Amino acid sequence: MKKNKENKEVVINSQGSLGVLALGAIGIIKWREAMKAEVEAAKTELKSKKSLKTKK
Amino acid sequence: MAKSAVKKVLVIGWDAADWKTIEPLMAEGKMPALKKLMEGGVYGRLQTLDPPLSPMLWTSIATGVRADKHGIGGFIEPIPDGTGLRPVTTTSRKVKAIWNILNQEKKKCNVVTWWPSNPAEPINGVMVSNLFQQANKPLGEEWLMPTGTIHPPEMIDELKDFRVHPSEITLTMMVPFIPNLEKDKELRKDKRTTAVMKVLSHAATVHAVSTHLMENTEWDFMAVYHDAIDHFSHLAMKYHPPHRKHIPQDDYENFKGVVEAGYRFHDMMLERTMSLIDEDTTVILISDHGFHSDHKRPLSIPNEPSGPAAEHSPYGILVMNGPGIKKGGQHVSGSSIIDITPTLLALYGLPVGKDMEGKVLYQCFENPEQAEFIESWEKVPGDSGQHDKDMIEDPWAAQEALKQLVELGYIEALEDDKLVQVEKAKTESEYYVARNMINGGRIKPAIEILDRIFNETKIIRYGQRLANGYLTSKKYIKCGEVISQLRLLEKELLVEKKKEREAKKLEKETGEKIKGKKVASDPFANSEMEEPLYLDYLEGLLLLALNKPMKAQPLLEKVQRKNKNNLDVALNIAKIFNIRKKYAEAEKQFIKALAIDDRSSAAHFGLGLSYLRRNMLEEALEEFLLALDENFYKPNSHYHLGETLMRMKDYENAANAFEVVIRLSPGMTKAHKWLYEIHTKYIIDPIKAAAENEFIKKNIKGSVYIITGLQDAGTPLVMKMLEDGGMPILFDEEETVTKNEKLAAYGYKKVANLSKDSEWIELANDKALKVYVEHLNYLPAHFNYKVIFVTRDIEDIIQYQDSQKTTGKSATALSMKKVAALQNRIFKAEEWIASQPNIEFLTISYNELIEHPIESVEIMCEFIGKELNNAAMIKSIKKNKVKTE
Repeated sequence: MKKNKENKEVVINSQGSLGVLALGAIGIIKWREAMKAEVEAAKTELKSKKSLKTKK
Repeated sequence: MAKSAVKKVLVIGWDAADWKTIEPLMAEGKMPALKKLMEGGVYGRLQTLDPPLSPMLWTSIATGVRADKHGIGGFIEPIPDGTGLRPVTTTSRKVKAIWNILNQEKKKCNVVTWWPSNPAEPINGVMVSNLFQQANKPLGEEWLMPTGTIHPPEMIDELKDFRVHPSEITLTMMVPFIPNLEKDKELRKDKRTTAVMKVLSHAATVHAVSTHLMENTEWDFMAVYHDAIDHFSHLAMKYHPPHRKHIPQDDYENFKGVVEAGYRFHDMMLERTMSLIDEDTTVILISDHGFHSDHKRPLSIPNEPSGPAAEHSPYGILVMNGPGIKKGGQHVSGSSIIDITPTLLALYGLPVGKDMEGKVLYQCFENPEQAEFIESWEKVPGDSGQHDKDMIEDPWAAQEALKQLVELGYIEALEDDKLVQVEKAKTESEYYVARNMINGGRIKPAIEILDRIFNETKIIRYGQRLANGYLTSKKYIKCGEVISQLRLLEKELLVEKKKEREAKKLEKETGEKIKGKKVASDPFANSEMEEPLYLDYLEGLLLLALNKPMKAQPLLEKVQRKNKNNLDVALNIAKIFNIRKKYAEAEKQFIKALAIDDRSSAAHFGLGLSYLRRNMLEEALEEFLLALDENFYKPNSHYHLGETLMRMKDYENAANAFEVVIRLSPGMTKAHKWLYEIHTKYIIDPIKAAAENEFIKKNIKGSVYIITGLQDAGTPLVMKMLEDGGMPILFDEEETVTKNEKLAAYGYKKVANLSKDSEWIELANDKALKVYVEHLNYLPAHFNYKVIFVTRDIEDIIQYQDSQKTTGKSATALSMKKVAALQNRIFKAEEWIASQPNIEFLTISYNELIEHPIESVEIMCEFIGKELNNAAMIKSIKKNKVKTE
């Protein structure tokens, strides 16, 4: 099977885009991973902010 | 194709995709993937079926048969337990789909969200049903799939996360559809915005699951159906450029980009899909119907079930590319959605079922070879991957059985409103199936259905189609009767509406609620749609069929004033001008028709004919070629192309054209006659000439001109006209003593004995012969007949007959009996004539003859095709009309 060369050109972040949806299965998987990662990052940031506050 | 069968086929369905929307986008470079697909293969329009309702159409695409055979008759069906209605299901499909046939042939098939495909069938592959993408819970809650959504069920876990929830659609994804969303927060709450989000999430879901299956399963056949273009178009085609006056400017600015973005998104998905296939895969991209995007967009949607279908246009798209398919972007014509399954079978080198209604699209094939045929795939045993037989059922029959159980007291009755709903849905489904049957030329059973449901419901739409069915089957009196009934219904409706308006006015004045019947408005009344003034249109067509062109013309012109964009109205007015030999006027109307649809084969054909009759041969040639470009399978276009080429003395190409006529319509004697002439006079070929002559001799012993009608309808006058015009006639000369008696009779005694002895018919060769309608069906088949059917209002005939004799019976009672008997005779005669390939017929109205003798004589002479003395014939009418009245 041919591999999609255009994969690399589509920027996949939590915002998604029509380009991401047009990639089909792989686009959806990566987009959701990006969203999950962003949520995780936000949680970590929140935690670190809280711990800073506590230390103060 | 049998020897070079393809290995893999991918069918992509884009519901409602239309070239008229695609072409400008492609010209601007906005649909590169589709352009590439077209340029590497073939493309063209794909004719839809009537009615253009998607579940029926996609099932016809997948089976090669119409709704009465495949069993999917609309959008909904009753739930077998009688609890209400549900979307149509695969268990109602009565025949094998292409994937069932391929399953039997040991091919692995994947089917994604085909409509209908729930419950998923147990095929040797994966089937994802059309309920897969429907989100039934808010985002975050567990989103269960309805039973039967996926086969095999063990793939549910693997596939469920490819569903995109509408709430997951982000602003970034939406901005290409509605750019103002970026700055306008209120617009984000607009229900049209949320509807676009939902459609986009469905499209993304279908694409995600199909790309996953393409990459992760083995398959020989894959079918992927997208409904999003249809849904984007129903949502926002009204806002698509150019702007129309009645659309609020704000709405236009906000939603004008939805359709374009929808198409471009499909092109992006196509690009990805194409990147996932290998070079052994043949791709077929189709839509089931088109969608009006220009001046033909309706101003409002009919207030009836399936009303939105009024926005559909009759042509979808077809693109084929890959192994087995011609290369180079060639345009192909004459394709219909019903042809897809036979074409797929031929591509795989499998035989086509003789019970399939479509044809193989050989014109798309690189090396076309005659497909093989079998009686029916239904009789071929093997694992077809269909549901178990006990699951397959006719839901309407199940509903009837349920009703019987209620009547017997075994189960409790349904709630009244549900029963009414189911009954209404059943009638509506029967109406769709009847329309589908008319579309397929099965007029008689369609009329039976329409007659029943119209009489039961008095719904105007049903009556309109019934009248149309009678018209198509040449049952003109019946057609007229239904039109009269519809006129009465229309009047009643107007009275009811008036009452309703008055009641509303009174309510306003008094503040009290007035009880009364709510009037269901005629969906086509007052709307600038395809079908306002439909009754006038039908009546116009009826008059045209009865050869009353002068009466039909003002009626159709009235309809045209209200329906400037109706192609059929323009074509019929043009036809009238062609009949009346007013070719310049006809040309104007055909050009008008082409302004409505520049790809109308009928308009190009008619325009060509109007040029040919004026000896404008170059112009005629161009138009016939354009007509054939749009519909290759029309023998008449090839025939007149041949006639034009003959006049241009291009005998070689003329012969080619007539050869095609014979391939398409082997019995068309006129084409054989031309070929005989060519091969005896111009391209001398004694063998071919002998073969043509043999055919003509064998098949046709001669031509007889039959003048028929009811007694006292005016047949003797027509005989007299023909005699005066120089036409040889056959009658019992010795029986006629005086001129008056001759005029009254013109009979030939042996006609009455036709049922027992028809050998004498050779005496009538090339002559006119009077035959009353009751003897017509005894005419022997080895002659050609040109039948002139003389009609006259039955009341006039009876009055005339009554004036000729006195009886003791009540005149009224006698007349009613007579009317019924006379009508019956006419029905039988019309039915018989319509079913005879060796009969051409022309209806001449006695009254029209008297009122418009010049044009009537011209029409009659054109039909007869002989040089007659028109002036003498006209004189004959004026001189003799009194004697026959």
